[in-house]
Amino acid sequence: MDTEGSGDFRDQMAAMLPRLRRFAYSLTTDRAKADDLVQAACERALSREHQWRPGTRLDSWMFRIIYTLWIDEARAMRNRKVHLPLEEVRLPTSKNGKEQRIEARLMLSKVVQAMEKLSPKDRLVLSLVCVDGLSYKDAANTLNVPLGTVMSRLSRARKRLYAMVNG
Amino acid sequence: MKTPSDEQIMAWVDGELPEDEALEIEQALEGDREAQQKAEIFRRSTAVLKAAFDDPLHEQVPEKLIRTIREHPAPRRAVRKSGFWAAFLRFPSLSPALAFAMAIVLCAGILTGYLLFGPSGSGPFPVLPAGVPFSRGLEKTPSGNSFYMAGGNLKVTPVLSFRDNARRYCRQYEVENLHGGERQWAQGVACRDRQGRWHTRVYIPWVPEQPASQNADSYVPAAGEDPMESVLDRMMAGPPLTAEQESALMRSGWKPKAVIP
Repeated sequence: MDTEGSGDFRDQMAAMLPRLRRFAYSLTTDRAKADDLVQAACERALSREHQWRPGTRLDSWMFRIIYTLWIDEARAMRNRKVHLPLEEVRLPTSKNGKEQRIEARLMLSKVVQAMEKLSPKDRLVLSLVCVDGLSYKDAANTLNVPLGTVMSRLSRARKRLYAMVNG
Repeated sequence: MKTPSDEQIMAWVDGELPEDEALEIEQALEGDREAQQKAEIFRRSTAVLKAAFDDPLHEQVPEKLIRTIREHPAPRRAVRKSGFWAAFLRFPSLSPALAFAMAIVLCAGILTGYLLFGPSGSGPFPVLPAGVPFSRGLEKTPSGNSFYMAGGNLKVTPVLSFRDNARRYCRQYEVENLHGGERQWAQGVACRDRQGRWHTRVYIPWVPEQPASQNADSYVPAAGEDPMESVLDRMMAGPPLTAEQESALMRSGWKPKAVIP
């Protein structure tokens, strides 16, 4: 087996795994699917290592591979997907001491479900900027769209998400 | 200042504005309850998103993913030798002295461009790496890592280091041209002179597979046969250097005493 010659590339990719998993999780809103996606993305990246331009950012490249795979899959799944309506989230009967923690958790599960209801484009820009913390410029480079597009999409997506979670 | 746009408010919340603009927005927000509420929406949306998807950052990465990255095979590269190499390799009983002489001839061939353009079946392959960046890269880059030349277009990956029969340090390397659509790949062996310059002595371009009938003259290697292996067998005075020996040599500027007494 030939795995020589790309030690540095593989090290960088391995160091990035926590971020890649978080990014994939925020896109898929499903932990198992997220890890499958990261796995597939790593395999694709390793078999196309020669396509990566040294001196450019490996994280942007990996994000691009992940969301391309995800969008392909999302397209295939579109007609089969059943969304959980937000109304189904109910506060479990709780004791006073735990109430705050439960409320926080409830809020977070609402966020995850709201994410699931947003369009892929909205999710993508939220994942890159809000979840991963990329600058607008880096997000624009990753998505290969103008900065203004990132800003208008991002602002819209955040207002939508907020309305869903607090509405 | 007039009421700032949603995007301006958002950029202010995200710290994306230059200082003077940020100050303007801050002033505009004072006493503007609606704008303040918007700022809160942008702030809260990031906070809840970060919190909601935070778990993967605080847990062990599954072993399976790490294994994928460590063990996934690199793309296969079939090496086919050109006619020139075939001539060399058809002499399995070549004496070491003669082999060495041929290696020198080969080197001269490379320098005059003979090997680059002469042999049959030569496809496109990377230019022969040479010069200061090449020497500097081989001086300092551990085997298995890559360095880049020619503005990032040429990727060179040292594969192993050894001493040749003349007690020179030599390194096997792979070189790939990252520019242009067609795959251009070659492997070579370069040896170090006393001034720290590295000179390529053997260079084997990767030749794309061609229908055998069009190329009856060329030598078709048996499966798994690698011309570089034969070259290394003949050039190497001993086993390849270990990673520790290699890094000690790099630290000492390839002074032999540091490693082999």
